[in-house]
Amino acid sequence: MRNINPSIKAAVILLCGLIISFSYSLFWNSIIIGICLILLFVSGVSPKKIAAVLLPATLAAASIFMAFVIHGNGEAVSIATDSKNFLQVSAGAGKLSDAAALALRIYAYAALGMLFSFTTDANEFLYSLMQQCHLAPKFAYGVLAAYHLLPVALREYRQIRLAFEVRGCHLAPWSLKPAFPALVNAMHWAENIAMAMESKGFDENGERTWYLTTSVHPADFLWSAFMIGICTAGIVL
Amino acid sequence: MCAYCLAEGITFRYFEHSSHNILEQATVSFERGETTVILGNSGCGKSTLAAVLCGLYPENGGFLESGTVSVDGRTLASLPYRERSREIAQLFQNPDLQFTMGCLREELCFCLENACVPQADMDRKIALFADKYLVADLLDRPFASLSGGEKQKAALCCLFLVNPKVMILDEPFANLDSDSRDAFLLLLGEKIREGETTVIAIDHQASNWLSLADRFLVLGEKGAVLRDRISAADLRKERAFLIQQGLNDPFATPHRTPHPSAVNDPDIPPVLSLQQASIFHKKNGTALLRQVTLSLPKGRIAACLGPSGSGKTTFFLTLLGQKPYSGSILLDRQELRRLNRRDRFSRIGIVFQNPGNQFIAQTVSEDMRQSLRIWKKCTADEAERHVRELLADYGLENYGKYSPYMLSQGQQRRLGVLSMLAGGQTLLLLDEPTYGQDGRTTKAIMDQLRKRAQNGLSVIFSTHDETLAYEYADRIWRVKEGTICEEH
Repeated sequence: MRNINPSIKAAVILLCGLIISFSYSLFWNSIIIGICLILLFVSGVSPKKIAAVLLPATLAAASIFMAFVIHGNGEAVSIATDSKNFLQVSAGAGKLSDAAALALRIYAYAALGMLFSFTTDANEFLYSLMQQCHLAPKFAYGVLAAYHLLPVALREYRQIRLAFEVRGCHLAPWSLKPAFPALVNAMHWAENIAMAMESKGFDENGERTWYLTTSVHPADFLWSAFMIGICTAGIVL
Repeated sequence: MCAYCLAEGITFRYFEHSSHNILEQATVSFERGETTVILGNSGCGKSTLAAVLCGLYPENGGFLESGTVSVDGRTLASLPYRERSREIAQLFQNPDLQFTMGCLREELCFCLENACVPQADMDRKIALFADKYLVADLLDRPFASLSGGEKQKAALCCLFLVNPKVMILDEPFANLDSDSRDAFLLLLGEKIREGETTVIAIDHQASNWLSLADRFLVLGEKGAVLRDRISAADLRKERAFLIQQGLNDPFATPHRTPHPSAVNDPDIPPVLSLQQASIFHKKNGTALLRQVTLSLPKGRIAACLGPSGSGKTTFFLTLLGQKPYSGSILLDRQELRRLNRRDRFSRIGIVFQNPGNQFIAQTVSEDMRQSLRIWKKCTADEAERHVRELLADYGLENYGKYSPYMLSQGQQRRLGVLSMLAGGQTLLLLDEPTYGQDGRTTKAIMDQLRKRAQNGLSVIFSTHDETLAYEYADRIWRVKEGTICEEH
């Protein structure tokens, strides 16, 4: 999985996500989840990391499942029959399969998301976006710089909140007040980083070489066709 | 004679229609292979001059009315960035804001990519480079895990790799302890001895450069050259002039005798007292500082010295109740961990390195007014009068309607102290209060603290500057080997 071109991987996984949002097939959704998990294991992603994502996904899936079982509209399957008992059972079954399909879909999204994020390096992805999708280097390196600044930004934001508290300004967790100094900082940072990049010879319009080159191989297309095929099967079949 | 690097008749301001020029007809020149140190007061336009020299201004902001910069006979403005960086490039003050990538190896690659070095040569070049400057151990460590000193060293490596003819270093040590500074100077010295590079350094401390600099240059208001071509040997003759200009005295020797008031004053009740206190990063973790026993009497100033990363900031955070501790920390004779937030913060205040992080309102006087309202619960009229008095006392009376962010760094810090103490707090913590300040503003800030201390305020400040610590503190607390000891 790590050798699939990151831009293609991103596009295919987005497309798969779109397709399965139309699919109610329990069978094919399970297949997709299974394939994603197998691919993750084959790529050497630690099961712990996968579990860490699947646990909250289970919570979401369970809540959707229960919501549908309890509040879902079962009348669509209430076929006229004289046995009251049978009616209840069949209505329940309809609800159950709908609920299960939705819950499974949550898992499928989680699995697809992991398949991308756990097997793609941020640098490689951006290099690939520049090389295959002709993203302007200005944006790509800007995003990289911002991504690498996140720990600093987080530290600074905590400090702002603390400074506000020390000044006796009590903040609710969702308060936007500390956002103002944070934005002022962000503006300074943006200017500083831009100047630092230029000082290292970065030229947004100039030529450049690449330390990492990403390219597209036939295997990328095979994998794309396979993934899209499986997802489409859930709708068509 | 035609200078190697020449800035001629530079007139620059931040806004085209503003009447306030940052630089006015500034002309400076530098010779090939020379190491020049630019001295000057905060706000004299040193950093702006550096950015103009590199061509970063006006490209990134500001308005250049007149003037040209040329290196080796070529006018900079006519060159594309890629070639400009081969002529002249800059290292910046803040070690956190210099990098695009996640670690030094990637960052060096970024520099090579910019210079269009073929992919096949990159790894070899980086390996050679790392061997030459002995930085192989830095290459693959994420920047987020490096200390400030290591980051500055890494940034210097990038500059070496870009290898411009002229290197500008804008206060590279503003945030570094003395060990990191020496490591940086050692690396720079190697490059200078190769003899190819012209170095222009901007610094508040001429003393950092006595061994490396060929020439010192003193800038005055708006980039006017006050003194030039002072050799390191002649600097002593200019000592009186530097002090008169409000610059740091390069030959100040820390007088190691503690302050008269540092003798034990058992009669004064302690504001803060630590008994066998150990400080932890998080619950059940290992102790960062162990068995600290200290006490600070009312109205005394303590300086907290120690290398970066040794735990000074954590110590401050603990006093603010943000970190778990064992043992006992008494604030006004009350156990710190038993105080609730309001009680704690009505007794203790902090000014961080970036005072911009603590302004809660959009104008200077509103910021003060809100503080008074929060802590003193006074009426609007009283508050208004009080605000005016306090601002006048700190020389900020003309800035009441300004946004706090429009003040200079020194003014921001003074406002920070002022607004932090509006509630009558008895203990003030200051994280590197003189970071990026010249001698004059440092003195203004510290003298004001001294005055407050005479009225009963207790202060703890952290600093890398031993001279400052010895000059202003009654107590010297040194963080080393995982504990804090008082020096006698």
